[in-house]
Amino acid sequence: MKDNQLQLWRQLAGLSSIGITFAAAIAIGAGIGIVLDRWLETSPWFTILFFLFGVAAGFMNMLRDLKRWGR
Amino acid sequence: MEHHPTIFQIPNFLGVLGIPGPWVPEHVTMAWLVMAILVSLSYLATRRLEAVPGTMQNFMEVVVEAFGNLLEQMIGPKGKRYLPLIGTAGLFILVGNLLGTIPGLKPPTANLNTTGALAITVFLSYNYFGIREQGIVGYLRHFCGPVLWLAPIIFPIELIGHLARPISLSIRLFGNIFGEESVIAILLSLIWLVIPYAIYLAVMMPLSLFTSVVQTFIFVMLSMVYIAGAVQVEHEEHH
Repeated sequence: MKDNQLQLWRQLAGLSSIGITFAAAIAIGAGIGIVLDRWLETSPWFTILFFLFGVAAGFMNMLRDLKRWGR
Repeated sequence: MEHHPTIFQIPNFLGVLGIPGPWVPEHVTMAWLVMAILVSLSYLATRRLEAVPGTMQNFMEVVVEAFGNLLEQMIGPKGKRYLPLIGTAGLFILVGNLLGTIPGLKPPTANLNTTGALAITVFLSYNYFGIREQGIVGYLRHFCGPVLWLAPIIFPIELIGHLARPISLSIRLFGNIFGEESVIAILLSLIWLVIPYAIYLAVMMPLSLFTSVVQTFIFVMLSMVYIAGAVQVEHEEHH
């Protein structure tokens, strides 16, 4: 396959996953937090903490993907 | 929505394992059908290997070559090591998606269980490849970021970021194929109105062929990107 065609397909794959990865990261972060809170009975601290981690992870993935493929 | 049974149904002989219902679940039957197709194709192609390939052998050689070249372009000269995983996943998804265009059959990838299994396989594999290439300490160090005192914050963020990957892989494939399949099912249930049939032939048929190929390509492409990222992280930081 030609190089610029390959680049196009890579961009399609990478950029089409930005939105769903962002949402999934937040959901996983919140999920881990809720599970930890149930287990350690420290509601709501771990939920808040891991929700923020999830948001940070989502943004980090998004910025990384944009930097790599958004050219 | 009305439930359309598929042509093939296998009696549920797995009841002892606690699987309910009189039939084996639809997507499992269809997955087995895909496996049967792939196994018989491979058998037919490799039954008599010749230096001057016949039709079947030629066809399969072209397919395998295409995957191999793609891997070498994406991952580097060592890329062909990952051909078994990527090639199998790609062919399974492609044949599975295309089953949806045959009336009476359903794509196994229109069920989250199938796509979830594929995505988890890819997820575990690329982590294993990363550990195999760099050792467990070297691989985990890339999770901790460049500055040591930031590691307790960066580590969970990276971990969550990686865990989001199989979810996005599986949900994208499932959502696209399931949505396409649902639209086709609704159109075909209104077939007595004639116009939906025209829409089905003129719009949905080409569209579903297109989505099948594109979704396969995206899954394979992203798997390769993840493997490349796990295997050669140093290379990534240079550019």
